[in-house]
Amino acid sequence: CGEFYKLEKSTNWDELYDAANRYYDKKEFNKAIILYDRVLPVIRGSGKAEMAEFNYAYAHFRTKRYIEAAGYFKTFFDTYNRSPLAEEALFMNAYSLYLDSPDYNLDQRSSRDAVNAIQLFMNRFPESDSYERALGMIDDLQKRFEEKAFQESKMYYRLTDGLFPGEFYRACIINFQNFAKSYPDSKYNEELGFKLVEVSLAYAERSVFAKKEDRLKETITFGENFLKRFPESGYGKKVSNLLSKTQTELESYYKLKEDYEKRTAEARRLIEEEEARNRDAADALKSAEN
Amino acid sequence: QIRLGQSRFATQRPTNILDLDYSKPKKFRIAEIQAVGLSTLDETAIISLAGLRVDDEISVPGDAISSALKKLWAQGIIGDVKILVTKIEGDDIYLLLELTERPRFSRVEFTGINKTQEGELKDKVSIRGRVVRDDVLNNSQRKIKAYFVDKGYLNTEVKVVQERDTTLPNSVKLRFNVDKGTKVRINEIKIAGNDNIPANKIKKKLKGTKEHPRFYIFKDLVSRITNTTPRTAGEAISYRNPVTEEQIKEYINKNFKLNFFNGSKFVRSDYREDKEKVIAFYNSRGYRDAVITRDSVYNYDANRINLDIDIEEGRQYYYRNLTFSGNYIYDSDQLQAKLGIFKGDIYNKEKLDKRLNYDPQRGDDVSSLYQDDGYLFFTIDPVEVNIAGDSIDIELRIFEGPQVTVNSVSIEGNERTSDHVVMREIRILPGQKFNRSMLVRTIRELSQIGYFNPENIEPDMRPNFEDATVDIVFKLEERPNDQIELSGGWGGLFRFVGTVGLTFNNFSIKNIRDFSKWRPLPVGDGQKVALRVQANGRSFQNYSISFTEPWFGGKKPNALSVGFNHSVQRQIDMWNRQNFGADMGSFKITGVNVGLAKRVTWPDDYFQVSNSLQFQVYDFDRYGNFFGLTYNTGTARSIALNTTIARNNIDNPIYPRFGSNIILSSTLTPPYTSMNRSINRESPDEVKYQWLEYHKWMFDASLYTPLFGSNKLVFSARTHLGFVGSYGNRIGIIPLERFVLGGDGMNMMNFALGQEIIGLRGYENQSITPGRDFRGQPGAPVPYGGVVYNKHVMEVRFLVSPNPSATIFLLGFAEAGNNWGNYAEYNPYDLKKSAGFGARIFMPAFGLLGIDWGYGFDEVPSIANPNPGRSGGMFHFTIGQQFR
Repeated sequence: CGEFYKLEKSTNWDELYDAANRYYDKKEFNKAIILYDRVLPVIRGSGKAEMAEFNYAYAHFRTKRYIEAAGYFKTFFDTYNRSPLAEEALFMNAYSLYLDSPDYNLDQRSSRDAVNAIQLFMNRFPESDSYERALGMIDDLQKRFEEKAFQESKMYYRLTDGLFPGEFYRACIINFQNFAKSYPDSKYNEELGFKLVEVSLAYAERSVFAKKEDRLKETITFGENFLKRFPESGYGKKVSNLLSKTQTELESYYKLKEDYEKRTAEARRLIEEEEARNRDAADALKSAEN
Repeated sequence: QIRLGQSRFATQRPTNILDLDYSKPKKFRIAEIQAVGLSTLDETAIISLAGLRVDDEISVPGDAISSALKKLWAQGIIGDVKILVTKIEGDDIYLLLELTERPRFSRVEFTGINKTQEGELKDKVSIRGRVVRDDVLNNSQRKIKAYFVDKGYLNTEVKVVQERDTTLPNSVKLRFNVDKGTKVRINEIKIAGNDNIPANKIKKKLKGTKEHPRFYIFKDLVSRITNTTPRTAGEAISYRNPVTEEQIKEYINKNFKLNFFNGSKFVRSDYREDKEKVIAFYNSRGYRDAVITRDSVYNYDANRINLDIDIEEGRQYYYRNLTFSGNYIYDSDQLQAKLGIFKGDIYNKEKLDKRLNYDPQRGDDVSSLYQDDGYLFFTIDPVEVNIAGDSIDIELRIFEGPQVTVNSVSIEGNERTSDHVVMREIRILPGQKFNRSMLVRTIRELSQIGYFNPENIEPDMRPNFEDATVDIVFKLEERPNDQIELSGGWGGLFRFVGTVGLTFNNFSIKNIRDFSKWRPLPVGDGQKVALRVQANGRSFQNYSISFTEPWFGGKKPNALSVGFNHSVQRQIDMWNRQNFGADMGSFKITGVNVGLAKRVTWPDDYFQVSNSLQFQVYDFDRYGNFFGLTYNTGTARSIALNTTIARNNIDNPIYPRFGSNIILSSTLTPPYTSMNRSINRESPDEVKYQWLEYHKWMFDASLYTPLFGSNKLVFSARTHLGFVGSYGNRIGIIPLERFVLGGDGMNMMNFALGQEIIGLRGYENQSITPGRDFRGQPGAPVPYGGVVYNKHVMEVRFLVSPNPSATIFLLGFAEAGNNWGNYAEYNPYDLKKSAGFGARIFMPAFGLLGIDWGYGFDEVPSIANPNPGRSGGMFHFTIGQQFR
């Protein structure tokens, strides 16, 4: 450690440079970073700089400082884009960001940055040996986004059992459709498609009379779309059951509506009769007074 | 030869110019690149930095050359560069990079500043490795100076010393000698032209520009006395000159400035903002034309400056006609009523904007009519259509727009906390009509869960005009929320007390096994784990651990909590020399509890109901008589069911401004005496209290309301009531779980196990407690502790610093309470009163710390001192949120 302490204070740049490389080779990356930090500004523009900057980025990568590593790899690529190391630097920039991107249930902004970086690499070096790997990384990140969206849908579905079921039924109807729009090829669409029918029926059942018809019809549309899209689905039977239930609801709704209209007409007729009678009585009274 | 690059220092043009047609770029293949003029730099490295390579196809003139120049300059290591074409053979082009090297900075040092400043400045002045140029030097000097001027060192001087660096060829060592001088403070702010608004009011608006504290009244009196002639003395004595209130204020303002909380340093950028605030203040008083005609900053003495501000107030304006246009949904009368500004009112642009767009105090402005009902695009634009004399006609132009439905809701910035923990708290949902007050409530509730910086929760609306929908993104910023409590203090009889407490408010049990998700602990699922150890050697120890899952089952906010605690209190013999430190008796309580708290939506959704079941073992070892028990050694147990109904709608847990918190709780044990008829008053205590039988009721209500519409001054009223009883009268009320009143109200400072501690400032800890005089006597005539207590508190709080990393507020209080040993004596009008003041500071890592000084007006009688005086003044220290 004494030697390193002396080096930290040293102004012999050649010695520093050699020592930095030595520590790097010995895989003592933290010490290498400290020495590179000191020596890099001084050797810029010399023949030593290129390799040193590359090692500097790698030292960060090896010590799992992915954000910094990504930055230094990008700087390296921008500075030495004709270098034979440029391809690796750009890949490592993307890879560092990829490794740094968090779990699906956290903020995914940095994952989107990673996707952009990977895309940049793939556009720039379509012939690269790492192309397949990059493709795999993108796939993995896309799956992460999909998982995030699916977990969000599941949460809305779960909360329909919570304190405000009505609000969450409606949230599910919108959210599940948005999911299908954003991830049309997702394997989760089958499950969510079934749940959409289930939820929209529950929503219709809780609706006020005036809105019931439209919502029941919407359920039927959702159900028919599901059966068309997933004819072999394991949920098929359940959906058919829900559909027939919806149909029954709709019929009883129509019956009720008809009945209601009949009764209103009847009531209206009675009121009119009553009014007419009152009028007649009043007229009779008036003429009697006269 | 063709010169292609723009050279910064080139003055002479090369002699033999090849004729190239600049209007028709042509493609060439680079046949050769050479670099000349290099001494320390490396040719290949420079060419590589330029991004050019032999065999590249480039167009001339074109991007390749200019981008090469840009790249070279960006490195900051060269003095000058030209790119020249030396030869063209068919499609082949020969390039020459003509470089000039200059010395570069190899080292940067500072003198005259401390390490922290040096660290910060090194980041700001990162010129190591760059070329020595005057502009770079000047720029750095300017940056250093600006850095110190911002800190109030207006007279900072920075000198640069350059030296050859012998360790590296062609390089320069640089030293900045900083002389920051002393801080310049503001002596006096002189305001002129303010005929209608007094100067001290204007000075109050200069939030970041304050006068130096001063206290000249003695100096002034002395100078008046020494300068008094008999004639003026006569005048002063006979009060012939009537003194107006304004004159008194002016005098006080001139001779006192008790401004100890605000610094009086001068920061130019703050001053600029402050001047705008003064104008805004004038505008809010109807002085629509007010301007600062002149202001100057000049030296008063070496370290102090004076500020002159001249104001031209102009006239005061009033509203005349207020008309609405473009409104179809609400008619003008409804809008006018909501606006609450009428013809003849003083013209106040600020208030008008508030009432139109967003009134943070009440939230019931004109926009709320529309924006709580989906009209997200609603805008209202006040236009001054006519100004006649001092009257202004305003037309309020409205655009109502369509009703907007929420399409999606998402969050950004949750780097530690899982999505579902945040999303489940959001009240605005897809499919709903947009609703501003729901949005505001969501922001409030997100700030209450404590994981995010409440000042930085921002909803980002991404509307889509075509289908009248909106995507809402809540932008969040995580903040550390774990609390560590490390405290030590002198606890009276018990001497030194140490506490180590850790509270993790965003724990994740699920992530414990996956080490890669620890940062630095398993976090993100919103669970709470609290560990606490408190001890002062052998005489008192307390260990507790608890775990809470706030959304047990994931469907409803039902909080499940599990806890374990163990406390020991020992009597140590301090006085006996032969037997020093012997254990003279101990009392232990060990308990476990399981609870479930539910949020309910009825009567409204601020209610919460919780139930918990607790089992406790009270273990006496030569200690029972402290509670007046007839036995010394033995065990008592209890199983109790606690039910609590609470309603809480306070707006901010740390510094509440609005809302109330009402809690009613009952604790019930099974009725053992009804089950076992053989137990009665005559039974020995071992039998009577083998299983404790009691019921206990507590009621607590607190209310917060801002004073004078300010968001800093808050009034709070609290009332507390509790009583313990027995089922029937077979064995009477148990001697445990009673009330102990007086002092700071902190459990840890009282070491009173098996009792309910209630504070009453201005009185000694535990001083208002029946049975206090008989404590320790076996079978005492009165058991220790009250069975019913009352307490009422009024507080006025003033927020000094809203900074979330250290929230500070001051308070003045008046409170009263009493504690009775039996129901016959209970008299809610016979209360011990006190008043005082205090301060609180909240730091996220330490929780709430407080100090109060209270004065007790009433006497606390005791047998030892039958004729005591008033309790008198005393200090109390508190740690943590005092609940009662």
